[in-house]
Amino acid sequence: MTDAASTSSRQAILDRLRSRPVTAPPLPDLHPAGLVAYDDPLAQFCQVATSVGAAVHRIGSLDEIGPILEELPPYRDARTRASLLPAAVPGNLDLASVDDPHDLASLDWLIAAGDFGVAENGAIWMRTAGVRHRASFFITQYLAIVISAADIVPHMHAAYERIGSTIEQGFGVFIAGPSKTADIEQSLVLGAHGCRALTIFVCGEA
Amino acid sequence: MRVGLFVPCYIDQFYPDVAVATVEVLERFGVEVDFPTSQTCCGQPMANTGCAEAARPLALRAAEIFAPYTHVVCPSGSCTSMVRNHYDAYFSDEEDDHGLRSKTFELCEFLHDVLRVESIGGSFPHRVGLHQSCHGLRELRLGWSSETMTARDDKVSRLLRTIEGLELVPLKRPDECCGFGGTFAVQEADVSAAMGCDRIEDHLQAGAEVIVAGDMSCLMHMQGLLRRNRQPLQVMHVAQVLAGRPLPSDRRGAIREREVAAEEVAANLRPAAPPSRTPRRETAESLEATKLQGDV
Amino acid sequence: MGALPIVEHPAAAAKFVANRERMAWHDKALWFVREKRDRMAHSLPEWEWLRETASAIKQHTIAALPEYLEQFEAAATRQGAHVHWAADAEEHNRIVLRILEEHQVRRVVKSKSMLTEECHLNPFLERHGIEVVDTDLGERIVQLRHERPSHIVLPAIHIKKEEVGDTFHEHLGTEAGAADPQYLTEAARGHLRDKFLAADAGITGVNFGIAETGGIVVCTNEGNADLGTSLPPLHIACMGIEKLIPRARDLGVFTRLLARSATGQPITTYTSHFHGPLRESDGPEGSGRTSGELHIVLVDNGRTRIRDSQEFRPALGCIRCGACMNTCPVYRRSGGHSYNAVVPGPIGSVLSPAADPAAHQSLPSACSLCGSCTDVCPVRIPLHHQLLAWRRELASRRLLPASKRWAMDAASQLMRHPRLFAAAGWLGRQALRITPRFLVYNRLNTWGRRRELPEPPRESFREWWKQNRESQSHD
Repeated sequence: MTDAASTSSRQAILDRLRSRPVTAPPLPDLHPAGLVAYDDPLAQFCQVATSVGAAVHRIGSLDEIGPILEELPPYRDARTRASLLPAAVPGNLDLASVDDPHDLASLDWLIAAGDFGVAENGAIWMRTAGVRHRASFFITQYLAIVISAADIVPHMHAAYERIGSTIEQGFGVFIAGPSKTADIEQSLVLGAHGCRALTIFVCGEA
Repeated sequence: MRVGLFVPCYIDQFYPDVAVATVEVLERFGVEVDFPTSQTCCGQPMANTGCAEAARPLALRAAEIFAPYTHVVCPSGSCTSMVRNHYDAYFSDEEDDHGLRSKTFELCEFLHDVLRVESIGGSFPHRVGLHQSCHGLRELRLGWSSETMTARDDKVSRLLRTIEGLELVPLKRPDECCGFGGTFAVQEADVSAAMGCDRIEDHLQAGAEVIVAGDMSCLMHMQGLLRRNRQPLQVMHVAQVLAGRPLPSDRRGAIREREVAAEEVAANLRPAAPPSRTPRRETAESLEATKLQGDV
Repeated sequence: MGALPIVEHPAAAAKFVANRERMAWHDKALWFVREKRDRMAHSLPEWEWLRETASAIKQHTIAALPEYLEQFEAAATRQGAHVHWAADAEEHNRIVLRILEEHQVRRVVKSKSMLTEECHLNPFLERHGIEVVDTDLGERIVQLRHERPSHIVLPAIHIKKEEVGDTFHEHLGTEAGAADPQYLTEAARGHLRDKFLAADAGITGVNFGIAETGGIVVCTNEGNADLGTSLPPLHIACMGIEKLIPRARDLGVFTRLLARSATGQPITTYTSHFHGPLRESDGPEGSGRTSGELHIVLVDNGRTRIRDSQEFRPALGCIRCGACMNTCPVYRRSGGHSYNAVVPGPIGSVLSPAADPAAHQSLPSACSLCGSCTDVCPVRIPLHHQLLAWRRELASRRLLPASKRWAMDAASQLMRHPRLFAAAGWLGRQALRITPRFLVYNRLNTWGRRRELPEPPRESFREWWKQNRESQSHD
């Protein structure tokens, strides 16, 4: 793919950079004392996730998800639902059977599992491992994410520590609340291009 | 202690009382003040315009003039910052600044840090809007700028608070720039004036009777706007408040107001100005004139 | 578009200021964002540590850039991405076009990328018959209006909702006069969904490139970058060479700073990490069948030149959060378009003269040197000192207006002679006292257009000193 011009530009850029050596200060330590600490990281997570537009439900077991969803009109009225936790919530579309991600345009609901939550910003780390189409996470009109109450890290330093080298296994995304925009006069509108609403189920005890 | 008094050029020429008040305050706290009369200007206007070659000789002069003193005190955060933070560019390794960069202090900083003045005393029973001059705040760190999260004492307000009856009013934007900015005030006159008007509005809304600042240049700009727009707010340099000056009366403002009104009548009777030779400027200028009439 | 005519900042700003109501509205909207940022920064006791650390990481990376670029290239290639190198904007555009043509792409969806703005990619691709749709709502609004973004994070911050309503009525068929942001956003969602579904390729910018893993990180609130790269099989990521960070865990520092500084959010809604091309059933558990291609275009376009300069090098640490714009009292009152540059505001006034000093000579002076930008910058770029340095640089290259140089040279001469200075001061004060007002406030008196001059005192301080102190001390 790379052509001759690009190769020569590569060399030109690297040569130019090397012709002006700059003394590099050392990389700083990323483990200082005095990082923000929360008495109750789970409560902090729930509060911040709510503040960024998510609806957060604490549940004792996965069985509670279905009844809570059934209370929501967009769920009741939904025609196409996909679930990555079929044992807890059944769906009516098997994502693995969809060949072309464009066919997901009619997907109303996706229920997925998140890896862990981050207390300081309400974000959830999601991986597409085992999901046939990455687009599912973003094209669905409504998204529900289930995480375990035990899986809350305090801040992003701990988050990347926890992700470790698994970050290299393809695609991963932090999702904090539903998609949103404030591009028209700084008025916050939920539901820009991704999900219109995000429902988070935090299962079990911390 | 004997200090060299460093008086900004525009204070020397237009606001002598600010320097007199500085002398009085320093003398009150037992400091022997000397004013080397060969001083003129620290070079900041040239430096801030980018004209380093024009600024350099003035920096070298200043270092020589203040060589005999262990401490140099200046009633301006901006000029102090010029010396402390920007003189590096004008001294080669062989040239001696006689310690000027490290021995120059802004007045409040000197009172607070060097003399460790606990209380100013006196009385000033007025509502004061404190204007944080940017260079004092962000270059000298006289206070805690709202952008940073590092807690700091505010040296200026700490001194002011020890004056009986003085009430500092809360501002909506406690440290936004007034728009003076040296040559910025003329080069970007429209933005500069808009910034100044917004600042004044904040002080008026807060119920201030007087805007107090450590830099007379900011106040010169805001005073110019206040007088043009005939707004009921005074300005005082912090040295004047510390020296116990009373709030200026409105008398002069009232006289000025009549003058302005008379001038406006005269202006309306005058024939229109002849067209300028450079058409581009003319457009900009006449645009300005229209706006100005709209504003006044 | 392409090369812009030279309009100096004061003239453009004057036009914006002339509409006082709009100026006040613009100022308030951005100050609101600045206040949200303050609240977020206050919520973290380690805020200043984060800034310091981010700055140190960036300085380290920029210094060791050639090694990190090679490391990144090797790792990204191992991940299955194709890495391209472009010396300048033109080469960047040619590379992107070639990739698109090789894939017979007709329709492209693009998420926000200041780099592609800098390279004027859109008009270039359009000239070659490719439809490019900006999918960020703000960018779509300015695209439909044939304008440029006026802010790097809030591209349509200068536009009122009624104006968006008119634009959408014309282009998307919304109801005439409708100006409700919710309604308009919903209309854009529908319109852009069609574009996403019809696209043959997605172009994104890059917020961070990770040297050690060869991954790229893209941050959005709308989810447009994610939709645009997960539906079409081809993803082209355009990335300035300064976007690298050494390690994945350095992201911990930058993801904490970026959105807090930019919009006052604790993190962007979507912080997406791409390692390699689109795959079906990603990861070790699934089959991981590659179903797309990822091309990363590394672009210099003047960045190595900025790196050469010790003075301006820290500007390469910029993470494009826009906080310096939100806080800048001049930007808020003059509007992004007054800078007549791809990147406006303080950071734009540092970067633009580096690209074309003559065209942008007025920008370093469009600043009162208040220093708020420097204090707000999450990577601690000494912005206002760099703007001052630019003024020196422009003066030494004889790019300052001659009138300024002469005035400053004359003032400098005067100030070297204390007696002359005293005499001139005396003369000036006396002249001010006796000259009729209409002569003082003439058209050349720029100060006096808006403000009164100070009342000239009877004596200067040095005269007072002679009479009240000097005479005594010498007795």
